[in-house]
Amino acid sequence: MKITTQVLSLAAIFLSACVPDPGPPVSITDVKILAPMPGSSAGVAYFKIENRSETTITVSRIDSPQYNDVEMHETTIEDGVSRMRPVESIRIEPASSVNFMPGEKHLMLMRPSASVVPGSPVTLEFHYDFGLLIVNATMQNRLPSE
Amino acid sequence: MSTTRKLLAMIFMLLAFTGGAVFMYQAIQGGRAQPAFATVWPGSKPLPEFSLMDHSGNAFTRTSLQGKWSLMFFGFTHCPDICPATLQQLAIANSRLTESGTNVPDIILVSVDPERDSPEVMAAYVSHFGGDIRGVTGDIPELRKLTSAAGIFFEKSELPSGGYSVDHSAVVLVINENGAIHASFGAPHTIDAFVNDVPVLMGSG
Repeated sequence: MKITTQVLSLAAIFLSACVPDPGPPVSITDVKILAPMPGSSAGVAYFKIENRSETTITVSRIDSPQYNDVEMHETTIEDGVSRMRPVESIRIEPASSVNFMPGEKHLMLMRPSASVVPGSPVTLEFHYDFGLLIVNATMQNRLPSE
Repeated sequence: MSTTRKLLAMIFMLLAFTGGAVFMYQAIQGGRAQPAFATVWPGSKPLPEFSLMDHSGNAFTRTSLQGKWSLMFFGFTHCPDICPATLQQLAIANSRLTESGTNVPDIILVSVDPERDSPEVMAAYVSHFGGDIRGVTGDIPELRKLTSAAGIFFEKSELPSGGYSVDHSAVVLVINENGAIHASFGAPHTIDAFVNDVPVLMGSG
């Protein structure tokens, strides 16, 4: 009986080792960090947050060691008027994603703690219900060549 | 019999004449290109007198707009995405039109954030787009003279972090050679819309 239990435990460990790692239930892809425009010190970041879990998740905060002030904002155009407002948190339904993209949601990177120029590494720390996701990217020039 | 034939011949000629007239009318209307994206302002709207300054420190008034076509956008240099995106689209559209041998309009950014957008800041900002974009701004009352006449909204909006943004109309105005608003492009903007419609609008001025 004791031997049977040990065999079953070993089999369970072996089987679990064979199950492919599903990865974290949340992933950050398509990260683009753009340098500030002349006259401004604020950079902007775009990305895609995908929730592959079966639970709704909430991204409550995003930090960066390179910036003292990081805010989630959303630009809307209503009746032809462009407005930018802070967003407190981002809720992502199960098996869905939210895009931060030009003209919509975006991340404002303000008050840099050191010189950040095109080519500089920038780290983004996503705080959500189940932990922390860290993404490293490189700052790009604002205007890509056509 | 002869009378009937004459009657039929007259009816035939009448129908042929009417059909020909309709065909000619449609041909004339169809030959006049129409903008596909922009909204033409019936009769155009002359702009009032106003006094602003461009990024080189030169006066910018209603007279500055006369004698050439212009595309005018209202924004500010701290605007994170829609302003640089629109100016980039306008610069690329002008570049494409120039390559195809088409006359291009001036591009003018009117900053609705004079508190932060000094001529020096505007100069650095507009030069970033590589084209000949002219940045202009001025005192709020002078800006209001222009924006009120053009139906442009702008309003400062405080942010919780302590900074501020500026809500503003995202329209691109097409100003004709007489300094009057001829048409407008509503947001969201595309390069193709400018490339397609600007020559049409400039040809119909």
